[in-house]
Amino acid sequence: MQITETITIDAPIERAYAAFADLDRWPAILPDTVAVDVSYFDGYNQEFSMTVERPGGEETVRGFRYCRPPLELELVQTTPPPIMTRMSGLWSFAELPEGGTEVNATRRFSLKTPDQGGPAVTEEQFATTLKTILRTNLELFKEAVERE
Amino acid sequence: MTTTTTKPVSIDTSPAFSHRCVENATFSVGLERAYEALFDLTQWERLLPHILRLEISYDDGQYQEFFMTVKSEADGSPMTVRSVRNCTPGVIEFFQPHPPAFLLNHGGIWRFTALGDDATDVTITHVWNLHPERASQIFPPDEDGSTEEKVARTLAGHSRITLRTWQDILGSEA
Repeated sequence: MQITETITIDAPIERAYAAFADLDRWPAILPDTVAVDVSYFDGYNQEFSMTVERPGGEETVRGFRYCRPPLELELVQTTPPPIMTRMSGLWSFAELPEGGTEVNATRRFSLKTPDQGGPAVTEEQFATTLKTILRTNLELFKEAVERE
Repeated sequence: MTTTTTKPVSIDTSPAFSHRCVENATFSVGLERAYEALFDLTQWERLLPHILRLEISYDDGQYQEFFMTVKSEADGSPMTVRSVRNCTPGVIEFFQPHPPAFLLNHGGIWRFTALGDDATDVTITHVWNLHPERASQIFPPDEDGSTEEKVARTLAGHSRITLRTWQDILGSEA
């Protein structure tokens, strides 16, 4: 299942990209992100873990990102949220002719079945929840970057 | 409508790495088979004699993480290396979060190009940043070259051996 959300940020592409690229800034931008650890970063490849607060308690995901400034941040969570078997995605950034940056967030995910510990909803139903989370996060990033 | 027309960098064009080397070979099988051989980690232990063990910790069909145990060149003792790969059509990108001691960072990319129904050009590019102190201890500069040159020759040599090994394996299938 794949979802996409898009937002326009009134800032140059480099500044918009920098906010998403710097994981150390995420706890200050996203209130539900309680901890971030970047264990490897060579300027292109990155290994990270991130702990977020969810209704059921804290969840820690782990994965890798491919950093291609200022156009793309590709991600995979090799330890996804507990209800998922797979989570990967892409943040892409594009300059707008009138100024500002269009940020496109895409996520591909697969849910565990209820027997495996997954939620008692279909992927389509869960997609609506995930889109809301993604939309909220994009708006928080927009606020943070435009405030700089 | 957006104005951005530039292509994103890939690992072999990223400015994050100071050094790179490129080697290529022609495999006598079609692109699909050539790619499958490098993609399918479950067959490597069987096909590649230098691999003592290969443990796949993650594989979703695109992203892979695995631990490969080989004999160390230095003393023949087992050495385990973790690799992370991103596999897309015609391309396999990789890096090692814990590279050999003489490198700070190491990764690369395999590219597959069809030359015909039964031939594929396979190019491997390694990219790296040196650990200056350890590299100069392990590859001291002398009349045979600078530390940088020696490391480049070593990694290029590894690429050629890898390409030749897969050429032989796939050539025997043809």
